[in-house]
Amino acid sequence: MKHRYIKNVATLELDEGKCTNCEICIEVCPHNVFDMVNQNFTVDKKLGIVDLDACMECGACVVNCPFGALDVNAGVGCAYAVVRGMIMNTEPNCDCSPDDDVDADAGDEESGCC
Amino acid sequence: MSEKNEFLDISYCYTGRVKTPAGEIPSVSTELVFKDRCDAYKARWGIKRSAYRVKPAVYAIGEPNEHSPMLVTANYKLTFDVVRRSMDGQNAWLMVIDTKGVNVWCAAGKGTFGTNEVIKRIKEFKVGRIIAHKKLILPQLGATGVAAHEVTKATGFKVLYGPVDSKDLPEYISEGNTATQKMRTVKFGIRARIVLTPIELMTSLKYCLIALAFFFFFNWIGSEMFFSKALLLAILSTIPYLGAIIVGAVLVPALLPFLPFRAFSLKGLVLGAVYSAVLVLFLQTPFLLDRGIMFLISNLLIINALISYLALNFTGSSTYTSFTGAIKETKLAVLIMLPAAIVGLLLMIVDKIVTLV
Repeated sequence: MKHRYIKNVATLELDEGKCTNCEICIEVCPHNVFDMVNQNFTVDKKLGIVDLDACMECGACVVNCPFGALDVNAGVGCAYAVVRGMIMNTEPNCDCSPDDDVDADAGDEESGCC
Repeated sequence: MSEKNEFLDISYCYTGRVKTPAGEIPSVSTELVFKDRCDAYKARWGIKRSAYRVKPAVYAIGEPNEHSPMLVTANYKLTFDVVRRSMDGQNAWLMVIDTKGVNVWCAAGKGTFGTNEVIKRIKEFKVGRIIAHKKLILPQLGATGVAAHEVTKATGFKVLYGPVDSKDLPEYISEGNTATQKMRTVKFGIRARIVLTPIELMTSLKYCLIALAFFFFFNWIGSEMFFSKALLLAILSTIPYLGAIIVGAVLVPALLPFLPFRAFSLKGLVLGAVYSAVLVLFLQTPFLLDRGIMFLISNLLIINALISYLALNFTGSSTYTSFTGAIKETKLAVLIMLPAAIVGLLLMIVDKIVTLV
């Protein structure tokens, strides 16, 4: 079953003028947000955002885009971080405890953070 | 902390040494032993979680040579263990970088599994002398912290993003370093969700202690009760809260995709409603001792706010919630949960005052 979170909020943007269709974003995206799509009346394919609502705003595509064609307001999708940010008046971040926090591992039990 | 104690002693995983132009490199077993399972178990339950750091270095898996793949991973012991177990029967190098004992995904989000750390360790470990090819395989989930093109610019090494799940590594390598779409996609299946529940439970138990302390003073103040009776009553009143924590921290994660609504707080409320019914029908008499409708309603308000809050908190452990979405949901949910809990608390206090006078 595919998990779905709140619709129409992801801030991901693609600047088609800068994009060279190198496809690195397709490679790094963990939720298949990008794909090569057919253009109208041509056989050429161009990179497009095909599933914006699946974007978790992790920022992997933005960091790895060598041409600066992508932009997103990246951050952790963690309510606890948001609450703490509201209380402490800081940017929400993933530091659950002062020193360390470790939860799942990026092995067969991949997961988010805190 | 001294350098010596900073990292786990993993010499029990060593199976030998491989000679390279960059020096001797220890090879590690691909089979996990009892101690590894203990480590995993303890880390999952939150026992000294920060202490599971593997020393950053290059390790050998099987009998690698200069043409073998060079994998990069985090120095969290559990991550190190899943990767070496996944590589059973393969020959490869495993380059462990310092992520302060944090898994790849979280470390990449913080930037410790990052461009600079990768560049620094490539130089420090003399990776160019260990392998003849100029390729590194990084976990895909490390991509939030690493700019592949910048690593290449600084070191000449090409960064390839391997699969999300390390158990797909052998297939990825045998297919000439190509991943299928399935390998590139993060799943969040029942097993992945269940392994997170112990830590969710452990970190939520503090609310039980708060409830226990509250109920103790609540029962004791203004009454002629003995200490032991007030404590017993407090323990009884706290049990429905323990149930609520199990609902919020274990059942919500387990049933996540089957619960209606997209917002986690609403998913929590769905189970909260079910639990409320169970509480009214079965738990009220033995634990809340039928202390009237006001007392019941106030408890239900607080319990539902708590379950909804715990559910909301699981956004942090989930693998698909967006930042903007979490902000939107949290702002709305706090506006509803906080007043509900406060009203519940006030009702309880008013009810108590009424019975006293």
